[in-house]
Amino acid sequence: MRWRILLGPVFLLLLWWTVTATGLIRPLFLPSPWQVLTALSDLTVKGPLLQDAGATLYRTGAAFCLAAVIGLIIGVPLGVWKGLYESLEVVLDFFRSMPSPALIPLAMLLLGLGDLSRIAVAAFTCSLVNAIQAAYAVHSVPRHRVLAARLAGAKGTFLLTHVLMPSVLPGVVAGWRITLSLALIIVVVSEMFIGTRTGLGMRIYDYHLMFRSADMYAAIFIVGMTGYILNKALEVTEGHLVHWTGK
Amino acid sequence: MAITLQGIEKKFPTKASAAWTPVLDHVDLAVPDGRIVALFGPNGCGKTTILSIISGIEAPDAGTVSVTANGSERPKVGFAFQNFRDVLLPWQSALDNVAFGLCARGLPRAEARQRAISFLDEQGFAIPRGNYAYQLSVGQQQLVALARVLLPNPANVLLDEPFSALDHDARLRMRDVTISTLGKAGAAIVFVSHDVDEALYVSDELYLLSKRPARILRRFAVPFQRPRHYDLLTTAEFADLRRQIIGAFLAEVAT
Repeated sequence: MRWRILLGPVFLLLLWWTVTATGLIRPLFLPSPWQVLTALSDLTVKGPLLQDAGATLYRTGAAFCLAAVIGLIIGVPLGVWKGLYESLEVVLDFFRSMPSPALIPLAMLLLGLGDLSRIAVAAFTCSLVNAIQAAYAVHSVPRHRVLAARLAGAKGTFLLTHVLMPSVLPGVVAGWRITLSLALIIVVVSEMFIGTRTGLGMRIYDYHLMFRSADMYAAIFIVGMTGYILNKALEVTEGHLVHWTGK
Repeated sequence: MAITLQGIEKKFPTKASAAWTPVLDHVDLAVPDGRIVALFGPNGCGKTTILSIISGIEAPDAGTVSVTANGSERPKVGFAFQNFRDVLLPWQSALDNVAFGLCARGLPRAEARQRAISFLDEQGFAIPRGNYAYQLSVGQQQLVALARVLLPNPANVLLDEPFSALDHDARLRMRDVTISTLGKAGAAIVFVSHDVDEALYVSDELYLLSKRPARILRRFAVPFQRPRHYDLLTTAEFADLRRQIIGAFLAEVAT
């Protein structure tokens, strides 16, 4: 058991408890751990937080999956044809570099105030990241691996499924690692905009407006846990799915 | 003649300028079935380019290439690349990497594996077969890459420093294994090595290449009887031939 991994959280908790118990920080800004814990259990058991987490997860998941598919469809041709990549490089880099919450009002104007606009913004940005990752992955398949496979007689579908796809997969999955976090970030931010009555982002902002500090911290904690669990789950999946990454 | 090159010219674009650097300057090469030709020359002179042209990976700017296979069932060309680590598939076991060529040519996986196992057993390849390619030592990876080339019994074989990562013992053994398996099958072989002893031990004929752009400076017949033994390296005839080649090589490098 790697018991040391507990040291960080325990230390943080102690620090938190100390600064609140001694009155160093006022409860409005930072409630005590016990207040937050109580709020957390109340809001998850009787309150809306689980439902909110569900809504946020649904939007994140939808954006993530859409982006995974679209990214691959755009990214593979970009990796194969250098000219195409050069033609689109500026456009791709521009939108990838743009802080995507800037697009949320525009998306709402075009697609309405519902889930669609939130999912669309997250999926759009994540698609670009996935596309660039996939293009790099295709581009960096070792040249001699393909040459040797062809000389050995591999062609067509066999070459694709037995050589090219497994060569590209680690890079594609690396894109998923980035976009899973990114999708969650964009979705949570988008929920702070007008137009939804569910979602962790909306709930955090709501509690903030009502000065319900302990409740706000509880909602923030749930967002943090959601991101952490998603990342860990994908990390484990990656280890099994593409164990040859970086080898 | 299994492999014939005539008057091959090749230029590559230079990185810095728009100029083209000549790499091969009128190279002629002839390898009959069942013979081994060694290419020996200074670093970066274009030996690997010659192999690339024979294999069809690169097209010559001028000259003719002819590569024929006796037996339509066999792969026409087997190529053991210098950077064998790129060639191996890291998601496959050592055994599946060895069997790759057979699978690629349509053999069912189970049968391909079976033949790979028999081959490795017969030829005494010491490889942990269940390990993934990236779990092998560099030397083991080179053995896997070599076995992958040899197993489908190609009609023409290009070996680019095929033993460079092996320890002394494995190197000696693999020379004999390679010669005997390919010799039995009557393959035409082009062998590139930086080690003149190795090139002589293996080959029937040695081509000494010039500095870049590579020309054939001289062809040396290597008349020693087969099967050869390591003792060959201590004979006077061997030492004499070696001296001639090294002399010609040093004269070229010095200019």
